[in-house]
Amino acid sequence: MKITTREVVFGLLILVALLALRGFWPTVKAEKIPSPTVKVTAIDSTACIAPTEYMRSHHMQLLNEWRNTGARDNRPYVTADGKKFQKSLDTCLGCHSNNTYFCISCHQYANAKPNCWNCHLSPLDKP
Amino acid sequence: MIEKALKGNRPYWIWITLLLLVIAFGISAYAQQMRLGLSVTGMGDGVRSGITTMQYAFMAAVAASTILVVLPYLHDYKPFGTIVPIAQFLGASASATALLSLFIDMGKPQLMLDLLRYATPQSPYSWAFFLLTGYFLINLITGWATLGAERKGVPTAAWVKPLIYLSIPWAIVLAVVTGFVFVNFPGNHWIASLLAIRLLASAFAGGTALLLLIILILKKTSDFDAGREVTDKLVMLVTYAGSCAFALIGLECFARSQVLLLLWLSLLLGIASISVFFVPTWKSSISWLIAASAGVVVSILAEKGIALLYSSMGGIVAYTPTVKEVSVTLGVLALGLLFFTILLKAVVAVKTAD
Amino acid sequence: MNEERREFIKKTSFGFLAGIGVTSGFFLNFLMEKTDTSIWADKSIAGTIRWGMLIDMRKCIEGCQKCVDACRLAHNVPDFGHSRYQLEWLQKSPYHEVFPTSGEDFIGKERTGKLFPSLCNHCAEPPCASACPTQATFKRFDGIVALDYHRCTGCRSCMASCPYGAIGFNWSEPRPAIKALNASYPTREKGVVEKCNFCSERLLKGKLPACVEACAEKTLTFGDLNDPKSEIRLLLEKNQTMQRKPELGTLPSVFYII
Repeated sequence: MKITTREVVFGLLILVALLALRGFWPTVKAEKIPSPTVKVTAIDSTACIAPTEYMRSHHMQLLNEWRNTGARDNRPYVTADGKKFQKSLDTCLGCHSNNTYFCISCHQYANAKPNCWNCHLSPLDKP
Repeated sequence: MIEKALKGNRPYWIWITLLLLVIAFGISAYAQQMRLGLSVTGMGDGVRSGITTMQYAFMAAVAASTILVVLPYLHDYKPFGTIVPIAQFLGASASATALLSLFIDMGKPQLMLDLLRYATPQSPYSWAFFLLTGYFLINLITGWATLGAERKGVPTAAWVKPLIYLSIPWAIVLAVVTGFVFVNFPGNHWIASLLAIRLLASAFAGGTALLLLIILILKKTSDFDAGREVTDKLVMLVTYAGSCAFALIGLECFARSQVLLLLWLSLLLGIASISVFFVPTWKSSISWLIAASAGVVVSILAEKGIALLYSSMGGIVAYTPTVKEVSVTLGVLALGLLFFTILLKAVVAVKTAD
Repeated sequence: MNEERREFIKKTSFGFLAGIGVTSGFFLNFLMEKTDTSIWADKSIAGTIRWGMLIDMRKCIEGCQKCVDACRLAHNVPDFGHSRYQLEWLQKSPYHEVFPTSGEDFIGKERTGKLFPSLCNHCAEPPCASACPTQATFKRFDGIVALDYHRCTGCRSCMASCPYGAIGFNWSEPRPAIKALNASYPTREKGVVEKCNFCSERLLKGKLPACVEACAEKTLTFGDLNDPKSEIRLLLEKNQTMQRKPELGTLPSVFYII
């Protein structure tokens, strides 16, 4: 049996092709990694920073923390799911002032008199 | 011992009623200040401190100076033993008055506790608050413990002496740092040459003179007599401290200033008063001593007042205190005096074993 | 506390947020403002930025109050109508008040006779910040000497230590004394001090300070002193400039060409 040059070259080509495929093998073998379910979103003040229930009971604590750190800490407030917010009463009022009585309706009922409005303009003061 | 304050003769009750009256006036004026802000005072743009601050500065100085009486006692100078509780209670009352004076001068007194919460080491004001509170407690506790032991004729408790030792460096730092608060000085107080040493000298002179005055008044109005040796020693201390203080204050007369006349007047009064102590016949007369020590007190008070007139922008400020401001300040002074009177009543009762 | 809160929010918020995500599609034109993303670029490390201002008096027009008015409006600065309670963040003052230690003799009236815009110098070594007992006055990461009004006790230590008289005190309630109320910035209350903040609220949105924007003559140049290629640095290199009371070592960030 006579082996021709063409057959040798062809065999070598197959070998090279197999070796090249070897390099692809890990990727082919690997399992697909699921894409992350929670994406880090861009900063956006159009969303709530915490569930309504939580905010209803704890907004004074959150606001107090913002009040104490907002002026000197230049980092934004980051929620559990990666959303970033500027620590400012305006962040809240950006949405919530669309209801003029948003703050006062509860505060009046609970006879709570926060001193926020000594300086900050309440939705009631705004023209 | 406090029950002794509930017994007294007619002049005592007149004095107490008078103090309560002044306090009531002060409270009503302070209520207005709370409502209208510090605009009820004569202060304003450029005049950031007034008579309240002057009272604070003087009372802090008085508080610190009481260490001059406590210190010889620790070195076993027995004659001062009789007046050590008086000095300690004066220290406590003066600290309380100084603290209250700071308090009524605050724009937002409701944030008083933020001074503790956010205490700042490089701020003299922060230190002043901390030091005055501490000095008040140390003096009240040690004074009370010493007096209580004396009343029962038992030795003082072992923990008292370390506390008194603590009060020595405390008082010296107090005299200097509380002074930094009221002096209008652009830049770094901490390393301002002359300022600290002058504050120390004037505090010791003014405070000891006031203590001498109190002892002399007590001698005239009550059975309590501290004795010739004590007054002589106090006169000596006032002379030493006063000589240093007026020399240092005198240096300022060479600086260009629009209040030179006031400065000269206060200086002359101080030097004249000190000179009285050098004349043997005057020195043995109680009336002369009262006049001279009152002269030193007024002179040091004027020095504190003049310091307020310097604007931090350079130049002199125009300032006239208002009636409300004076009422509030006098109210605080009366409160301090009431506190001191009650403590003093206990001291006199124990000393005269009545 | 913080960690606990985070955990709590983490556990409870996902389902809720999913709901929000779905419903938000229905309310596209809700009255909400999107925040500018670029402001949160985490480049603000202490010392990398130092905001500064250059005031070129050759361009300043006499009698013009545009910068002062813009500042008043932007920050609800009260006007008590009484010189004793006068309070300004930015004002035009005569030479002998702005440069009292620089000497007035022989310079020439055309240069010293003007009114100079004067404001907080945002010193690199601010004496007010070290005098404040509660750190209500403090130096920010970007060189701005800021005031946290929530914390100010009204002790006025800062006023005593400021050599430029740049800090004012609210001797009475300021809100009735504000002529035109600007809804986008808070006011102050009685008993606190206030001063220029270099418009840090505008810088956050990528805008120039209100006074700089208001000046049509470009008298005021604002920029990062730590950036060698910034306009302010180039101008500082080319021109002979002055600082207020440089001998006190406060290292002001406001420069003047007179």
